[in-house]
Amino acid sequence: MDLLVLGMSHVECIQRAMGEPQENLRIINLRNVALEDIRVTNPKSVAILAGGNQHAVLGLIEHPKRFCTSDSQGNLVPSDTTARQLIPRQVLRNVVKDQSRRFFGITRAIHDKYPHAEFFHVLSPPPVEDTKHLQENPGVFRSRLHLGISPPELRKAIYDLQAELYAELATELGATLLSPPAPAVTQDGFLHSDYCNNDPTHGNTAYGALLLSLLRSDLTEAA
Amino acid sequence: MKHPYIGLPDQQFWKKSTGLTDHTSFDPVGDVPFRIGSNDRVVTAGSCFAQHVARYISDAGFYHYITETAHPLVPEAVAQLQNYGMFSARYGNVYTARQLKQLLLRAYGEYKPETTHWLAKNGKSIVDPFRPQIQPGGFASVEELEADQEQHFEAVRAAIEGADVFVFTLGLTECWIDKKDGAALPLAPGVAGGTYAPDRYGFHNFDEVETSDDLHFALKFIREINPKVKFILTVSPVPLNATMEPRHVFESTTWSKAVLRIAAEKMRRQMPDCAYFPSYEIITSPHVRGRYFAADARSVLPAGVNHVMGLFSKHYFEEETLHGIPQETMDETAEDAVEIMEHLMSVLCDEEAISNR
Repeated sequence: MDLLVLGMSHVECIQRAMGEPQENLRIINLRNVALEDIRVTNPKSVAILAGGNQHAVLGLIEHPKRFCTSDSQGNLVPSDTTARQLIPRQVLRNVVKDQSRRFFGITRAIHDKYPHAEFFHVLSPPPVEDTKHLQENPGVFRSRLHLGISPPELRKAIYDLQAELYAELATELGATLLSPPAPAVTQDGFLHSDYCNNDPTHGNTAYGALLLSLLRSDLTEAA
Repeated sequence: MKHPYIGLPDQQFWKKSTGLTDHTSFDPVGDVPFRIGSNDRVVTAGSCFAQHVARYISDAGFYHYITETAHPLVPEAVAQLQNYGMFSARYGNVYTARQLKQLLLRAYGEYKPETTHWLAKNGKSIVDPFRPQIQPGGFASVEELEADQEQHFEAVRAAIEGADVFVFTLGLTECWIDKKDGAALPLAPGVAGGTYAPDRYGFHNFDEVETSDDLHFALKFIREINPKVKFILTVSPVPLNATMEPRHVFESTTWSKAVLRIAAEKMRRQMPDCAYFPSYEIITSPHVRGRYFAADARSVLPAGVNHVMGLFSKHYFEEETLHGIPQETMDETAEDAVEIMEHLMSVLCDEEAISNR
């Protein structure tokens, strides 16, 4: 086995892009199979996409008590902070960390299961900037839509915090961090509309194809 | 033979006072001028030791009036680590009476210090010079710090205006002052942020006159805004961690505690509905023979805190919910050592950051 891809909902776009089962590449959704039940032994490389929607859980929909924070440059987001409670960036970082605990635990367990593999940690796609797309494709968040979609810059700030934490974990575990494929990301760091799935947080099949090609090129480089 | 001591209460005589043979019965609290009901809003502020007071008021089922809470998105465990709920507002430790005075003036827009922010030791994040350790990891920018301060001052005003009882624990007399405008800083620049510049910042040790004046100003200021508020003053029993005075740190400790004790006593005598609660005496009294201090001879053990708060409850709470002093926590054992260390570690103490290395 050359490459084992493990994760939750964010592996689905790769699965769709792959189409027919391929030799030496296996994609497993950990929502359907428990880690201890996976029978793949000694994969050369493992790509992990554990969790990744924490930013959406925390910030896609406006909280009933609206909040603001700072982006990575220290600017308050959204810029109009009227009637919003400030959550200092460091506080929010700890909230995201708390939300990520379960997924980081799974990631560590995967590392433990395959001590000899080379690891890739794949970041989830960035948020979708277009509010209209989100309103039309709210997915599981439909019942919360009445609260409104959070301003894009606030959603991006939370995503960036999440990405920071994943990067730290990758460094700690000696894994290579794979950022979202460049063609799928707008100049402002959002998910390009061509790569949005018909839901608020996932990449589409084209995005999955980009990821697949990214993984393959990294594997080739590693080889 | 008649003399003026005949008929005085037992507590006024050493030999007849409680606790000589059984330290757990030591009770130096006399008559109290008022009691606290479970619906009374209790606002807390002060030094590290005040954090114990705040926690116990909450644990005993009384109304620790917290006006600066974390956003509901923040889980409680995370909020606690970010120093929300430690005191009524997120002001961190207010060690000196001058700090309390200036906090009030700043909250009401009557004083704008020239020192506004410091760069953290990591060279990136921003530190609030007046709450240097309140935000672990620092603030993201000056803009964020200013927004947080605005929220903080609003919470301070809400606490002052809504308080039924204001409990203030006096902790220190030594302080660092901005020579430009007299701003009192809880930590010297350079310890937890900023850069020490001797031409800009200077050491000051407030004496009994300055401390009394500052405390009087602060309490009067609060009462002008909130005439119904009652005050309880205490002095922290925790010795100084470090002194800038060229003498032994314990000599500085006794001097500082004497100054603070005098200031508290003067307020008790001058101001109506102002009580003194003897936390300092309970922990440091010869009756308890030093057993309430941890091995570092400075940190107060949970048994000591329990004794203090048991008496606080007994004398001040209308409905007694802490039934005396829990005996099982009176002495440290090997079994609870870890718990004790965790307990000690959980108290945010800016002063601990000072070292000579």
